[in-house]
Amino acid sequence: MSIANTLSNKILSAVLLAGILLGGARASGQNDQPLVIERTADQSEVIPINLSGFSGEVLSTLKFDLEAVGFQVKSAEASKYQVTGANDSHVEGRLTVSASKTELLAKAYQGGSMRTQAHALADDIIAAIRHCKGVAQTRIAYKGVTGDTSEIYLADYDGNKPVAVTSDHTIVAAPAWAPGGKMLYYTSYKLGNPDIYSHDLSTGARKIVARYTGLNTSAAISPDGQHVAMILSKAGSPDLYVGNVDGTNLKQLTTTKEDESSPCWSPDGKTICFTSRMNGRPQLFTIPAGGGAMKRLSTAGVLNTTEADWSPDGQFIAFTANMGSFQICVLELKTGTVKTLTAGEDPSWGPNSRTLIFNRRVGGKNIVSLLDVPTKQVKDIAQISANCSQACWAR
Amino acid sequence: MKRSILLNLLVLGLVVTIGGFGCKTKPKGLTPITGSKISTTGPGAGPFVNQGGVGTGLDNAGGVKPTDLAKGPEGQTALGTMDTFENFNADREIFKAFTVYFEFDRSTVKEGERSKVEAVAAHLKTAPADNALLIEGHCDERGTEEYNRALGERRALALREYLINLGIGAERIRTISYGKDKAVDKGHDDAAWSKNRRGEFLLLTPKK
Repeated sequence: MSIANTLSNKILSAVLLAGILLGGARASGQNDQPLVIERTADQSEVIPINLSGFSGEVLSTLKFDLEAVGFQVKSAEASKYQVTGANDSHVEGRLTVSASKTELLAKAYQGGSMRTQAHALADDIIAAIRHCKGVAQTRIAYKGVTGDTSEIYLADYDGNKPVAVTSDHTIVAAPAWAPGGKMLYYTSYKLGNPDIYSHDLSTGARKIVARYTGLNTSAAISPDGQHVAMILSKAGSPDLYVGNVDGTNLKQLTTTKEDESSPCWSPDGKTICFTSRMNGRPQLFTIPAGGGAMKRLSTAGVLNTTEADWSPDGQFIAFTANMGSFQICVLELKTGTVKTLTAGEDPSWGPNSRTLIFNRRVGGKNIVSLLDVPTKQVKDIAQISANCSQACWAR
Repeated sequence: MKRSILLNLLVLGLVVTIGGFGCKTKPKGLTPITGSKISTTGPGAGPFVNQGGVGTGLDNAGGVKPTDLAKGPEGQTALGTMDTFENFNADREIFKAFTVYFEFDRSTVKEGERSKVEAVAAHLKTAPADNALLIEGHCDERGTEEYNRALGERRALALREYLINLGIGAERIRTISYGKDKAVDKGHDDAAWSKNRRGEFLLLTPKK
């Protein structure tokens, strides 16, 4: 590879050493430079970037990772940034600004698979340009439908390496991660009723969290991992409850006659946001996690709001609105402004508080897609076959 | 940490205060589902699939060795009311003509549909006392899944309340919501949607 040869031995050995010191495929610049997430105007700019010297899976992985956070891979002439590199025995790359030729990054990666090394390079490029935490090495859980049944699957965030974690041969739905990504919660009809299970992904052990007569669903784990918010109908209507993460010490938070659904937690763990039909149509409400009064969440300009998800940085709530068609919306809490971003349903924030994973209807099928919120750029996850939904991002 | 301890105390305090499952906080017009019982200490609901290793959550780096999922134990979960219902045969055909249809995003039993519920009530009143009823709540494909799962349960519970008002014992009725997971018409138009927004009645008779 001619481009690989242009890398001087000196730089290569220096960055290789750095990569080895940082350890394995996790090698990246994230560990040694503090990241400041800035939301400046240019965050909403789609940035043209050129990739040269890469091939096959490494090239396609880099392209996906960059396009997921608002880049477009273009020709060298049309690009604001240049990434040159190689993927012969390992992945290496250097990032320069097209206009000034300033080098922002020069790294080689070791350990793991070539694919993982490509993800690590992508994360470093994204950190250098977007000043944004990388998500290329994160995972998702989702519901995959086959015929009349559905199971819960895990995959890399780009849909690679999908694996079923349930085999209940019934409806399994509503996956939710506990912080840290080692425990998964979901609803399974395995015992003839929608019940909530916890599932230790390290050991495969699973336990029943809630199996009351009636509906038990929509588990959401608190940011400290200690509590579960969920929807149970045992008092005669689907209400919001909070309990210890194993389902004990249950407390009923809402007592409306209509149904509540799909809770999520604020990152400080103090507040739960959820949907209620108490006023006849779906609206978002908040309530103190320890109990208290329900409060309407103002979503000016949009109606029929459901499926809220609070961004990990606490600044935004993403949700679905139905105004004739279903739309992904984001409420900025500081200003109270709501932005309607794209057609779709059921958004879940990535750990970068920038990217959403959501569902799109294409030809009557459910497609899982990524939405880069500042640029509104949508990227379908082609790896995941059609009729998948309820994607939930580990964070 | 401090906060979670406080919350635990608060939750514990509430449980001690109201006992049971919080029926004192129920608003008027809702009938709690009796026999509700939780099992969190029993064995899991295995058998559990071994899919050749899911790894450990976030650590999907290729350098991380995946861990095989252990097989869960065959679980038996003791549940009060639910167990008894599991020993019933479910007849979906007998009340097929009495399937109740709902308006979009609504759980109210429409006036034109009430005679169906009344017919089901009349049957249950003359049926042997050990016969019971399972009400399935369903939704059309529009809207998010968990929203519809709650709405489907609300529809089934609205039918349950109507039957209770007609004199059917709450202990004879169980509800289940399938949300939008079980459409009868797979179409994507008004005609399909109106058929899918429904409450179905299944007669439960004890297995002999």
